[in-house]
Amino acid sequence: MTSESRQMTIVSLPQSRPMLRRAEATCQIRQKTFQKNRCFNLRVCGQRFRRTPLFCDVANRMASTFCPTAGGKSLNSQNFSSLRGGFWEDFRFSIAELCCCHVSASLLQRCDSSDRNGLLPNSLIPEPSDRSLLRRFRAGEQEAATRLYLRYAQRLHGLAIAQTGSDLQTRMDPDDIVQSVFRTFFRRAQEGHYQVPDGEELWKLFLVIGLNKIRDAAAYHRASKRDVSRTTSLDADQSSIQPVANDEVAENSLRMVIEELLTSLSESQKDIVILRLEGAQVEEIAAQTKRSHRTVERTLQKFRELLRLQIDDVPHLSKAPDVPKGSE
Amino acid sequence: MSRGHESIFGELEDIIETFEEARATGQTVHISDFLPDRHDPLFLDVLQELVRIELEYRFRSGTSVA
Repeated sequence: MTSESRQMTIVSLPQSRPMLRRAEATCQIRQKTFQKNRCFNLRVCGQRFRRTPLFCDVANRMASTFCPTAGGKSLNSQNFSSLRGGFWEDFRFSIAELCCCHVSASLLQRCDSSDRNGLLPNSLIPEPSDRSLLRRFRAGEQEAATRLYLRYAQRLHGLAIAQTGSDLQTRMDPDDIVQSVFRTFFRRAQEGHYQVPDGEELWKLFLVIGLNKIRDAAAYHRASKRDVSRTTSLDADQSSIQPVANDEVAENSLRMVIEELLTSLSESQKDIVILRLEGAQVEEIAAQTKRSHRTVERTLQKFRELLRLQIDDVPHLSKAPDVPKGSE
Repeated sequence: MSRGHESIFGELEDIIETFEEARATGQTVHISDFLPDRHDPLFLDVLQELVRIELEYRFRSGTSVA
């Protein structure tokens, strides 16, 4: 198989699969101990697969595409752990092949849509709602759990990176946070704790669980006896010991904290805060939300107090947001 | 008044929100309908806040407070 044809094969993945349509497709496989079992995780574009039907499907298609010698043998959730020898070596080889492939954005754009036949079945293209997936997961469908994972793992990974201070990055692996969030979610979902209103997403829930996990981990690593600030890298360069002013990270963190808090408010309280963030005065807010001035002022005051408490716990944020001053 | 799910701002805000919502929809409201039990720790706080809000509404609309 030539390099060109291999690239074209990758870009022919269906556009509807976010994890596969990324222009820069990288793939890595790593071995990790998970719940006492040795299992192999395949990561495509930052999304991690496990021995699920979807994983096996992707893996087998990769193997058949990139490693013809593996033809006739297939991976499934039953034989996944027991695979040794020839097929496994072939499979690893196929992954290694894939690792070497990078698809440029320009190549992706040049690729005609008719070439995108896709390695995944068309049945995977329609995206069921979170509510439907949660219901199916409770009914025992592992595929639903996989879909939820694929849908939110990347965003959670980004959240974990954004919320982890530079000092904590040597101790906390964003992947561990993501794993922990899903472990908690799936356990509690099985216990019947979560409900998703029709049309709503689970992201807000994942966001809250994720932020709590990160906060807990940060508190753990900042406890005096294992204070991460006392950890220094042997090869630390000058930049790592200077405070890094990353406005973008701080802004993103602040936005996420505010969004998280807003989800906890009633509709009218949310409207009050949003209008205020948009610069409206108390009088305007009271008129628009049909609330008394007193309630508007009290709601804003309470929100500020909550925000202050949250910000104190979040890395990168050392000061309160610049909420426009009003008459309150 | 029954105590349902408490919001992040606490029960006091929930009661006031109910009061404000009723007022916003044009219902005739009586503060006494929204007060918790007299022995409830929140009783005085709720009463104080609802009176303040009611006075504000009446002052703005020119309604007598007597």
